[in-house]
Amino acid sequence: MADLKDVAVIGVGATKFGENYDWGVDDMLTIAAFDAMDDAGIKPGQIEAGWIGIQYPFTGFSGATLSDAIKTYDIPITHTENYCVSGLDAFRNACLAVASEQFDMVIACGVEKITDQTGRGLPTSGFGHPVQMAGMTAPSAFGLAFPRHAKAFGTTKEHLAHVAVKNHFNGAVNPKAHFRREVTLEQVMKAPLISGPLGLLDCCPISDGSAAVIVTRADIAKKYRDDYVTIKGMGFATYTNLMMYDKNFDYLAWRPTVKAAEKAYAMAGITDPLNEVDLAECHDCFTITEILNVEDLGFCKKGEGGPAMAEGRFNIDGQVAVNPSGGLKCFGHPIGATGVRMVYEVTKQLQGRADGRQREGAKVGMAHNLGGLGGVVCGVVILTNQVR
Amino acid sequence: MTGVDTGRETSHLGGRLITGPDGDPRLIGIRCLDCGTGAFPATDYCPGCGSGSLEDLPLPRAGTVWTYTVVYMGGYGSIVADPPYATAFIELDDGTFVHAPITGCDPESVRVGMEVALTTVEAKENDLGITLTYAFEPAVGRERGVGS
Repeated sequence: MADLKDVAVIGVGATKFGENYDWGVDDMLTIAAFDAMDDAGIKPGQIEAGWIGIQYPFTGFSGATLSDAIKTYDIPITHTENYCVSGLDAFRNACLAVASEQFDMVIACGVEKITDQTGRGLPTSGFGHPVQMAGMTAPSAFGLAFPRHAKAFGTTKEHLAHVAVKNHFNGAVNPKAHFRREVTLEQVMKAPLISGPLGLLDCCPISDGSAAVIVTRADIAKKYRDDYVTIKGMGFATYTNLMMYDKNFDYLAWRPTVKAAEKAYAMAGITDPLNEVDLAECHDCFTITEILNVEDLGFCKKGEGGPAMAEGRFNIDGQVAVNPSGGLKCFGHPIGATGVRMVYEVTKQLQGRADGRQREGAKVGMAHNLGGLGGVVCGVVILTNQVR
Repeated sequence: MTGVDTGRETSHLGGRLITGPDGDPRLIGIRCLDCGTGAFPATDYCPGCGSGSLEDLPLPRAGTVWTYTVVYMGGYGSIVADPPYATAFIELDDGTFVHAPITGCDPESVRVGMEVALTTVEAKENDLGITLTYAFEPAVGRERGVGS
């Protein structure tokens, strides 16, 4: 009987993220899925099951969105929706299916096409509680965390800006990133406000894109490539849409990040994440989100996230490279695709194939995906290139 | 609705708002008869323990701003105000949290700890059929209606 640590990734693929007006959902999925299959050295006929992360109904319904893109019919394909964690949850389900030995070769994909929608910002209708959400936007829901963090720990707007500067620095050299330019601290500080204190450059963009990965068992992976990566730890957690009913909700931590990380670290046997994780693709939908996340993931003490960013502790050559890809902030955030794109990046890093943005000597990498306004859902997946 | 003045009653997206004969608005939440949890908006079950044994809880009108953000890009919009507007978590004097807009002041003057009190606002034209809704505005001393 296999377990999750016997699960391997043997191929990864992605489209360029950005304003992909010339591609439809099918186009992007086809590009990402065949990119992943080519990388693995497999053909569509070898795929036994699939999972596809999509958040918005306007992007697509059901597994048929994927079967039509890869022209592979008569196999089970499941659509996963779990806010911004839709993609990483597709990957989780693919891993569980392989670990159960029900299937030997499966695909996990994600896709979102948002730029064709009217209106400004991310459509949030139907998210959370209707009263809580009245007049709210995604930047507002995360912006509400700032006054609490500032009051408790002295976090400043400049601390937030360091997150954007770091992630744009990393992503500027990434050929598939939405933005391929650096930004300065001054530009971030002076950008027009979206939801105070978050300015335009504190917010990830509205992006289109798709990513895909091929998942199999480690004993099968060896037949396809030597540099496959395997699961070291995995944890998922769901909190609530109704934070205002929780007397313990303090907006100082993302509770699902804390809980998902505890589970993933326990499975991985990691007790000192700062020294045992080389890189992390960490959910940075807004700069304040990443500040809380690096604390919740144990990369620094609670309250130290802002100063740690300013000191460069999470730069690509820092203690932990956080968002070497550029993150959601610079690489882009097509919702359903993001979690799978994180697995794509971590795999490339662990294979030494992250051209221009390589974390040297990376052995253990994390994909951390947070979803829901105020922090509702989280997945943490830890991958390694070390033979079990 | 024990202990509450009868008067104009409206609902706003699940939150109950009552204005008495004197025009003073009150929000109505619930209190759990089993575990004592108080909550707003009202539910049919206790958000703390799941019990269905609840009573109406008229909430204090006064509270303080617990956290806030000023929305400059309104996205899909507020029925209370055009951007920029402030939206906040208010901690009422009995400890209940209410999420609501802040009106009656420059939104950039809102701060954590600011004293506020409940008010009513004529809603902007909307598809929800709401004409009257609630917000909080700066208030100090007797204006806050402490103890009422």
